[in-house]
Amino acid sequence: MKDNISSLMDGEFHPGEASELIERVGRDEEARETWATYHLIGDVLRGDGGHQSGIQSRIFAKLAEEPTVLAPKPKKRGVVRAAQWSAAAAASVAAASVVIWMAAPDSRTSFQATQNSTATELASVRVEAVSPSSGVQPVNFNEYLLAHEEFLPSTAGFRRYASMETVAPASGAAGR
Amino acid sequence: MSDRDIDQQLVERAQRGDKKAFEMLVAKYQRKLGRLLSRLVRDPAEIEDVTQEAFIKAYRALPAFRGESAFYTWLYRIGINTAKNYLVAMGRRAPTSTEFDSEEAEGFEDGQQLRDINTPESELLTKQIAKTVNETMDTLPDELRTAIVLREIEGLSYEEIAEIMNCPLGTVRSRIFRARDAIAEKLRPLLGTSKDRRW
Repeated sequence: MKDNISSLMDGEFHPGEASELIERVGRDEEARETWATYHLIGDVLRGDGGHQSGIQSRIFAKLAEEPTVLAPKPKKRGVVRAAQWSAAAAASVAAASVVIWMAAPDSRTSFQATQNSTATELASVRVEAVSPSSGVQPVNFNEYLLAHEEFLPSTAGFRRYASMETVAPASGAAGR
Repeated sequence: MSDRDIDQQLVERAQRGDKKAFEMLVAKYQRKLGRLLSRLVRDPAEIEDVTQEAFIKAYRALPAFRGESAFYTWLYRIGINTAKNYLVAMGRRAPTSTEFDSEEAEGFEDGQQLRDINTPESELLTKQIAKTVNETMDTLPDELRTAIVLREIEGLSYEEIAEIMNCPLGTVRSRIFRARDAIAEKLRPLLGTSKDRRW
């Protein structure tokens, strides 16, 4: 095992087995002594350290008095990063949309125009759908709307217009 | 597996409640940290106190360590902050952040220029250890001495050493181990470490 410890501290032990070796060293007092002594030798050869006798055992004694730390298992970094990236991208898109909406009245106008034109297109489609010439009986929806006009929201003018245009029979009920 | 990977594994084990794993980190870094802290704290006994305090603070802060920096860089920052707080508490001036930049942690090599960090009690033992290491090095066969010097002092990988010494990787591995083991054997009476046993 000592030769493995020597390789491990040099970063030259088999990557797949290093974890198991670290566990074994952690469990074995003599192995830990070997680990400490080999590191001491390296430090002395590099002129990197006095022995500081007693400090290691003092730290170990102090550590023994400490409550054992238990850290939550971290999420896999890739998953966290992907989630963070997605959230950031969504937030960026939303923020950019708001900024464009607020800063460019032209775009708002064009968006409304687009909505209106879309409504008109839909209305046209509906006209075709209910056209008497198509052979389908027209739904008397206009009368229903007129009868309940007082319950329509104040902003419904456009809708009312659209509905009158769409369901008016070709026989000349447009003046109603 | 790199040095940083090994530290990370030890940290993760310590984070799961394995104190022995943290002890292995203490054994590995106590001298290096002590050396660094000797740049702020002058008295050897105080260096020991601050070093000990820094390790305990690091242990308590382990749940917050996410491995975004190397363990030693993180430990170094804790050590510097501990030393600064200590100096403030003692009514002494702490160095400014520009005087002590944490970025130098990993590249710190000027050990020879630092003051002695030994207390009077440990100074004799330190000298004896250094003498024993040097004397044993002199008695080692050339190939063992060269291998361990290239590894420990020059910081070369086994592959680089194999190329220089013109031998297989396995031979490098064996030579470095034999050199360490020979020196450790001579140090045993001084360190009071256990008698060898077969694993």
